[in-house]
Amino acid sequence: MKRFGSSWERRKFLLAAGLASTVGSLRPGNLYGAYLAGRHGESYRALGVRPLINAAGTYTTLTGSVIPPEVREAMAEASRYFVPLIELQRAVGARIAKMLGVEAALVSAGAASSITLATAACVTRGDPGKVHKIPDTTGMKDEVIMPKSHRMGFDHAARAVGVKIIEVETPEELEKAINEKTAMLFFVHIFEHRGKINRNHFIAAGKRHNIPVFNDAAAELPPMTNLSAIVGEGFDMVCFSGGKGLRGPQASGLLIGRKDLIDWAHANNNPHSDTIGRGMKVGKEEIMGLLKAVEIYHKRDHEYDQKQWSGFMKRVAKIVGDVPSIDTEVYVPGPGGHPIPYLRVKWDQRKLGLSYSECYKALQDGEPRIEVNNTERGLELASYNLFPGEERIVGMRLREILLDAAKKA
Amino acid sequence: MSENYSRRNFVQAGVALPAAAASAAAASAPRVFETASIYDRLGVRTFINAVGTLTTMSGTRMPPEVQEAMDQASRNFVRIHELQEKVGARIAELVGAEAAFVNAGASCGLCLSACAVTAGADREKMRQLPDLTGMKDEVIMQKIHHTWYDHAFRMVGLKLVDVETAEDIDKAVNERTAAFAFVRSHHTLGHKVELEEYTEIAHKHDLPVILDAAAEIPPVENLSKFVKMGVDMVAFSGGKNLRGPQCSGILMGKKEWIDKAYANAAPHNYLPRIAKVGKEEIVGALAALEVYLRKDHAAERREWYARLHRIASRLQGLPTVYTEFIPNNDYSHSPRLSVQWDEQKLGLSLTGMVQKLREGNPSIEASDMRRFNPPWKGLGLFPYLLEPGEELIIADRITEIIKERASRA
Repeated sequence: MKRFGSSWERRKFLLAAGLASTVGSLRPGNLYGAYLAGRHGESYRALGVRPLINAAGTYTTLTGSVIPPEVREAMAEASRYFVPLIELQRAVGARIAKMLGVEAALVSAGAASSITLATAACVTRGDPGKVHKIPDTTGMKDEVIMPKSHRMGFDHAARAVGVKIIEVETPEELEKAINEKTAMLFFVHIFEHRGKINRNHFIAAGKRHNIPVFNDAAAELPPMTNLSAIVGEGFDMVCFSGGKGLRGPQASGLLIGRKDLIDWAHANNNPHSDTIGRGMKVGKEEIMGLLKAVEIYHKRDHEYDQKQWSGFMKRVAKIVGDVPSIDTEVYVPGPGGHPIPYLRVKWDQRKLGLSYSECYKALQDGEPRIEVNNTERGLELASYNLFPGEERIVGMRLREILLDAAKKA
Repeated sequence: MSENYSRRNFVQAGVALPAAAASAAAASAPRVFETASIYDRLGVRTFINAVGTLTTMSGTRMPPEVQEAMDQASRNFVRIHELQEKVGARIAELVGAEAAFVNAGASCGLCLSACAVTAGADREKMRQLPDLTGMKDEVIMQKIHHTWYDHAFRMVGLKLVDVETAEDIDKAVNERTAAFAFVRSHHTLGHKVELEEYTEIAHKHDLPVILDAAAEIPPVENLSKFVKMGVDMVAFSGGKNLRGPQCSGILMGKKEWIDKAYANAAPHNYLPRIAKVGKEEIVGALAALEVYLRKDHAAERREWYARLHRIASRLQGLPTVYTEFIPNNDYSHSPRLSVQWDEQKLGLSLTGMVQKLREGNPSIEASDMRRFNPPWKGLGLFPYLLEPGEELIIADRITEIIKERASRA
């Protein structure tokens, strides 16, 4: 394993500011050192699991996000009492709905869980016989229409209900595909730019035929306005992940929208027995944790976030600026990406004798472990899961790897 | 019971006082009953739980060690597959299973097992679920084992084939049979074919056994007993007596099958992706297991009995009141006290009592045991989720209700 700097232990390294001689101007202050030492992850290391600095994104495989202290406290407090779970689900749903200005809301086990509940709501319409019968959809509406370009791994969450996915490519095809078996129209927010069908076509078709229109907006926060705006545009149900931009518990999600539909989603959800949602359990800790996360997110200074994140990326760019052949660009991705600052780092792979993949691997193998996105366009770093100070570690480590390669080349 | 009823005061100072005196003392004392501000604010009732670890009652309360472990876990990013691997290995070692991993609950564990025995780790087949075309699609189950949790199998597309005797089983097995399922639960009325024999028959046919053991601890030995018996996959709930996160469970068993189940599990993008479990719950479930295994189970059991004896002795001598300890049948692993009275003479029905306990302050949840399966008489009180002193609050509240009725009768 390649260690960061000469000192192998991160905490020791930070407290002793062992890197000071290398990059004197970047010497971390004591507070910063202590702060990072606190994020050392002893309990994970005891298990043989290495924590990581997340400059990749809110990927579930990288455990989504890190919840803020207020959410931690809410979860701990929630865990100390017994409550009637269904009452809690209703009360928290009502609170979130009011905050967002939507008719109704439900806390699920994640965005994928929300997709299943939304689909089950449309297929069963809350009929207890149907709720118990699915995924056998005999005698029920069992078709869900999706733009072909929106298909992805997560449509399995809809298929779990026993529906067929009908693919369409144009507004005309959409119109033709709708029939008496159509249960729901399924739109994936981030893929809108990919096809010929836009959200207005979808919403209008749903309204014309009185079929619920669902929008999967799992990772579409920020912007915060999406929390209310997508329902406002006319989508009947929208889902968000709780453990990404919202910074709630990783195993939580939101389903918001029309009251009748959300009620039917509840009917398919745990703790109700003999439902498709029974295995998608959400505990009081996660429910209260997500409520707190939504409250914080709603009040948050999102402009400041963007400035801070942009600052992180600029700092990394500055630190690696003196590497031969380096090319950096701070950018905010367009359609299909998340509207937050990223940094793309490119270099002459032949000149440095180091490919993007090799550098990506070296960042992962080092201590601290650093995760970034490895693409053909270069390494792409996401800003929003970095904690203040971590951007310096990322920059210094990246510079170290690149300069090492340059020396050998 | 007065509005100002003070639990902490009572517990500290009033343990030996008769109910009337305790109430009088409490009336003048400041209200220091632990207010659940986080729930109060939502208007959600908290209660003393004498009912049990029901999901609708929000399962369990986690011990401080588990809360602390989740708190620590929430502070870092890790790779979730690495975490699952290490935690799973640790759990397997602790219970003596070949393999294990943490999932979203026992119901989820059954669903994952069902995926393992149908699609296995074949990607094409995994993608196809719950459409079982071309796969084995039957599970053998004893007729008396049907529960609401059948849905965990049905949601993968499986048909449950009923059997009653060992001979039935041999006749029912065919080339479509994917597995044998067995349920140990208070929802079922025993077994016609015992688990050991059942497992032997399954293995004779070269088929795996899936065991629903959701609430089957205590006794602690059960954590190891079933896997040692040769059961291929065993699903436990994490949020019941294990006292882990409510939305967690542990699936353990033979490596071959656990690996197949994990191949289907979140965050892999297959059907069970809808039942997500986060780093907090994964670490919390392990911590809960460690705490549980270290516990002095005999002392805990003595304490449970002592609590019930304290209630029984406080109720002694009340008009028409009779208490009895009820035997632990196969379906219940905690001692339980039944409180009975002459409903006609006192003009107080069992339903009325349950309601009054619920509506008091603090709210108390107890069972109407006529609704149990098999049914029993009277008001049921479980001691195992009570905090020290709560049993006295329950006894005094029952005393108050009975006396009030007796004075009117």
